[in-house]
Amino acid sequence: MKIFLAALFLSFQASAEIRWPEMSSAVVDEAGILSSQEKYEIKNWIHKYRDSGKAQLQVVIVKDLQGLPIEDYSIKLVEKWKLGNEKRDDGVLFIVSTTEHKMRIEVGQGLEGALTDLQSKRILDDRVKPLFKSGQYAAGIAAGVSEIIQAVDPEYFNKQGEPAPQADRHGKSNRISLIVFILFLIFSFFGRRRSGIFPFLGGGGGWGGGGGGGSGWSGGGGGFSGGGASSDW
Amino acid sequence: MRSLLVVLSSLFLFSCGIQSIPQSKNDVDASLSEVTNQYKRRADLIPNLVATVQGYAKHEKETLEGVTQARAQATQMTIDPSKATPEQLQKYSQAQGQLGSAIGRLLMVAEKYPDLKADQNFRDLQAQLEGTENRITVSRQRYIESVKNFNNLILVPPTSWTNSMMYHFEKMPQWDVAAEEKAKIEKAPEVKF
Repeated sequence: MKIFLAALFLSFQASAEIRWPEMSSAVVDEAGILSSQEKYEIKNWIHKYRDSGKAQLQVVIVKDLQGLPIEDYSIKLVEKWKLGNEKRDDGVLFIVSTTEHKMRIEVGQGLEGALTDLQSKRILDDRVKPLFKSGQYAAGIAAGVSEIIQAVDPEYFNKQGEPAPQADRHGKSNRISLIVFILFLIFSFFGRRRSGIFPFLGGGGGWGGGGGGGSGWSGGGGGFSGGGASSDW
Repeated sequence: MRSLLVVLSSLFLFSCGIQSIPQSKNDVDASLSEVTNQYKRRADLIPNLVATVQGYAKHEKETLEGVTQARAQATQMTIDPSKATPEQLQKYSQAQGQLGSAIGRLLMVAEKYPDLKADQNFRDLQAQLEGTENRITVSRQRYIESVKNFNNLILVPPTSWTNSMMYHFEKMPQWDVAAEEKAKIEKAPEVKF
């Protein structure tokens, strides 16, 4: 145990030069390519899906990979965040880096049968890439998320009686979600003000403040072994 | 007096490696079998890959045979994760390195055939190969990490004392990335223009 802690400490030190994003919600957008409305919508789908007891999806958009290959960055990030359930290992990371124009889907061990390397590659190449190429980032990310959900759980959208998330849906979002969104913003703002432990989170959409009481979005100890696929655009 | 003894012995139990040394040995074995697992996965993809390339590039006999041979050699060599010797491990990693470079040459050859590159089957295989190579890298890194932890336990006091009193484990060989890389360089692909 001692050694383990020491190793842990050392590994933290070793990775000290890399600045990792904060796991503040299901959609972390450090590059700021999503509007807060788009971000909220995508986050909502993921949360809803998670609440139905299924996989834990995570979208991360970073400005750059700080010199690491995307495979390295991505596996280190999921080792840190431990997405997914500890027993089911059902975490999925969809990571995008805007400077290098690279993206990757990192698949948790428990989902490797449902979301294979090949399927991940096809999602990225066939669905996300064309949209990213024409600058439709939000649409690309929404497409990626819905394809991942569909691959993991083909019946999900039928059962929910809800159409699969689509790129152009954000225009006509219902009133309730807007109210919740505003409430959330207020709470996260005050939450941050009170605690004052997240001053470095500024900038973004303000989701960071929810950390303590709000969304409770965090990893569950899921394991990864490098499954998934990478692509670029 | 008795409670003191209990406290002392439990302290000994928790900090002196009685538990952590065998646990760490198990970690090493498990992570090594994960490595061999992923290499096997790669080997399983190769017959399909060779068949697909053959369909478009019959003339590349030498390269194709090279891959098949390297695969045969690599799959011949199996290691028992809990009893692998350093020599076995080195040979194993060399054979895998040679297979890796043979695959690399094959993929380079494939660049010359636009029809092959456009073939959906070939693209799928490429995606699977990429994925497997990444898994190999991840599992190897984890193996290296677990060997490091194990060696620390049996070489660094106070846990090393427990080892020399009770377990008598020897230092584990580290995964020889160098051997694998060397095997690759020795058979580096020739570029002809």
